[in-house]
Amino acid sequence: MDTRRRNNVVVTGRADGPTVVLAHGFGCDQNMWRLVVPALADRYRVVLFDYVGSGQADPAAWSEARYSRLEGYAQDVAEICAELELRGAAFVGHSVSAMIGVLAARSVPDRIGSLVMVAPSPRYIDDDGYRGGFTAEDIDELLASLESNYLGWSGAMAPVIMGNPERPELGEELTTSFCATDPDMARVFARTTFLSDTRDELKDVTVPTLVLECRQDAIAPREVGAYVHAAVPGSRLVTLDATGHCPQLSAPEVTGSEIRAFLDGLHPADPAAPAAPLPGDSR
Amino acid sequence: MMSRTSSEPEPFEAGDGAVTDAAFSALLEDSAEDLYERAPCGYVSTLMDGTLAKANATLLDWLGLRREDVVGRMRFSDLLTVGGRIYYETHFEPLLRMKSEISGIALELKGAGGVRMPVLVSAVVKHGSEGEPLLIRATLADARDRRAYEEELLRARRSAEAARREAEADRARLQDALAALQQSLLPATLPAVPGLESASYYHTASPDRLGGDFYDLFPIDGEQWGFFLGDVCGKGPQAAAVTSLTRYTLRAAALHDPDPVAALSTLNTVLHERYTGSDPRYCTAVFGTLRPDPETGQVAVRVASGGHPPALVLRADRSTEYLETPGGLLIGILPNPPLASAATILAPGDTLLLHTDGLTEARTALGGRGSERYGDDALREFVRAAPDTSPASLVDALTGLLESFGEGLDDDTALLALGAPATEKPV
Amino acid sequence: MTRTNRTTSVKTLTLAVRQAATGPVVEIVGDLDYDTAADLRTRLAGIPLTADDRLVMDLAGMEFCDSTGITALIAARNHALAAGAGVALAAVPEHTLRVLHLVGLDQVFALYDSTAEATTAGNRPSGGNLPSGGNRPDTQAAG
Repeated sequence: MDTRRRNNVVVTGRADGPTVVLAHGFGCDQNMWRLVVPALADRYRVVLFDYVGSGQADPAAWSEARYSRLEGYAQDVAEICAELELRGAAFVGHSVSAMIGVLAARSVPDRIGSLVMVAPSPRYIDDDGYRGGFTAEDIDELLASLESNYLGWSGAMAPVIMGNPERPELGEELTTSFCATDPDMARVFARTTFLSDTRDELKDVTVPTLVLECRQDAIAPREVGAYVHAAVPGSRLVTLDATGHCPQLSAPEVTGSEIRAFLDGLHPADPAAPAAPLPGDSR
Repeated sequence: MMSRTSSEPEPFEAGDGAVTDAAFSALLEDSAEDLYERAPCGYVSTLMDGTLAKANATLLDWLGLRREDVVGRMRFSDLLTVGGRIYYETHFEPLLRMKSEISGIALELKGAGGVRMPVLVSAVVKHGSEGEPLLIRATLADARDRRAYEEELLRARRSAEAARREAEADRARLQDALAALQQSLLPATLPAVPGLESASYYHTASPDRLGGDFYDLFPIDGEQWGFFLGDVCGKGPQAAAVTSLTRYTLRAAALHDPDPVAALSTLNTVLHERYTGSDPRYCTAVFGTLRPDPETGQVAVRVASGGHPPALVLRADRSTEYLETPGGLLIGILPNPPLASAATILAPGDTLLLHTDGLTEARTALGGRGSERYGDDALREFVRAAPDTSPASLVDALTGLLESFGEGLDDDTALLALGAPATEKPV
Repeated sequence: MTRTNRTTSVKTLTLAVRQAATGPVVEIVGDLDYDTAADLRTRLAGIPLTADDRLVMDLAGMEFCDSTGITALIAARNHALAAGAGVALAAVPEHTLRVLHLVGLDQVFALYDSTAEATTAGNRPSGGNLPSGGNRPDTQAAG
């Protein structure tokens, strides 16, 4: 199977830099990271991709059985890492992808060397002393509303996108693909995401981890950020001055600079090393 | 009726202009505020973080909320159901950030006392002079009718999908049943017979219709083998039932008495007894026995025919002859029909060919009106020109011939070729 | 024998029944095939026959007859025999005659070259035009 094509893998940034993988969450696709990539690209090799069922991933690769478990998405990540022969890469996961990253780091520990968890939540539903922000009834309602929005969802996103003269940096392909998710696959992803409980995984994280939460986030509230930070050994928690669930869009500068600072800390610049290979250097 | 192409503004008379303008101005002046507040859609303005800065009366009425409880206190997503809120956070807001405008998003409002109302939301980001985003303006259109309509569509779609799935499952079951039945009508493979070569082919004219042609090759005792090939009148399940009855009757009859005439007589008795009156069912058939002689390499053949085209013998020297069985009658018509028998010896390299009339009755392009049949003479010529006289080679060549008929071959066709192996390659 | 498809699927069978000195004559005009054979059977069932009758099927206008058509002719014969009546085919087209000969039915049906001959009392069957084994009169076939 062609993993690159399957997951619409895009590699950008500095080809010989340390690799950072940016993973989107439930909802949209790799374009979520557009405004953050520039903060990393000069020094890091940036890998973007779409999960099967999202964005421009190959819909033929869809398997309801596989993608009804977060492990299925983690397998996508592991296969992309293997395809690119990554070693000790940083994995930046937004929302549910933060937990997918935890699962992937456990399954391919050599390939993933650090984690950035952006607006993570290991459990969305409140549970005996744990506050995820949603009741079981809320999630049932969400899933029911996904059912009733079947037509709305499939139809709503298509006419949305009309190009944007004020943001010329957003390319034409973006205007046709962003968030254009197959409603059947989106339903499975939503169910998998919002019914998941991966709290037990957090204590086993062994890599350096940065947790980024937003000041105000209806989906991953502050309590959850604190919970993740407390559960992941040695993690660092940063509260971004951002609202909503997508700081990479609502506050791309601060989000980018926090990720950059974390990565730079893991890869201190070697003053002896030239910024670029000298002519004649063998690669 | 006034012409629509008139350049005169229709409703206004000259001289009333001043009055009309004044009425217009009054209307417009009045509507600036009122249009916003009492518009037939909800209006909101929010800060970039979603905090509600402004909402019109229409929206507040829908929600059953007071302005002072909303403005500055709630965020846009607080007005939504949980499902809508997640959708807002994961789709709506990212899109709006990326595009600065979105339209036609289906969301559901949740108001005081649990009131719910489906709306279609469109929003634009208002930018400052430096291009920085300042606030979001959104309109919310009442989508209750639309939602009801969508739900109707969804229900219809679900039931259509369910019906389609059921129909597909039924069709699959039916095809499985047809395939199983069809397999019971023909041997999966011909058995290996010492001292004999054999080959067969079955052309199905229509996959949905069970064919009525049949053939078989089977052991009778240590020295003799039985074979038959025939054609049941008609098609479909009734014909298949007769085909099945025919096949197993002939097999059983041959074990009881391998004489070809006796076997066909037994079949005739069974069919005639079973199907009479206004629903006659009959078949044509050639039944025969084979006795390979390991000493000489020859195969002794005895056949009987009831109304079937005679078997064709292709000799090793490429001469052909019919194993004539004149006067044999369709099986199942009369209680004691005339049945004709014949015998021959297949020497090494000789092959006996049995076929149903789909082959000779195929329409060829030569006929002009499309009614010219391939015919016995053409078949004889074709067989003579086969690459070699072995059963496999003959059936192979005939398979190609059948394919070449294309649309002209509109009937099921069965081929069975039985030969004494050539002792050496014919030159 | 099972050919049922033709290039046209339009039903083109016309049936007319008249009474002759020898009994009913059924004129069969057009195609007697998978699509139309049932019409003949239905029509036949409504024709009363006595032991003195000879049921004549006039095939002069029959343009096509497949195995289902042959079956309908056999059903007609069964119908006649059940009433103790005779049965005859008149003016059988050449191709059908060839088929009848091939499957031995020329031994079962009394064949006449024309309806006029078939409806003349006491006329012996012609047996059609094909050189073949001896024809047997319809009386042979009583079951």
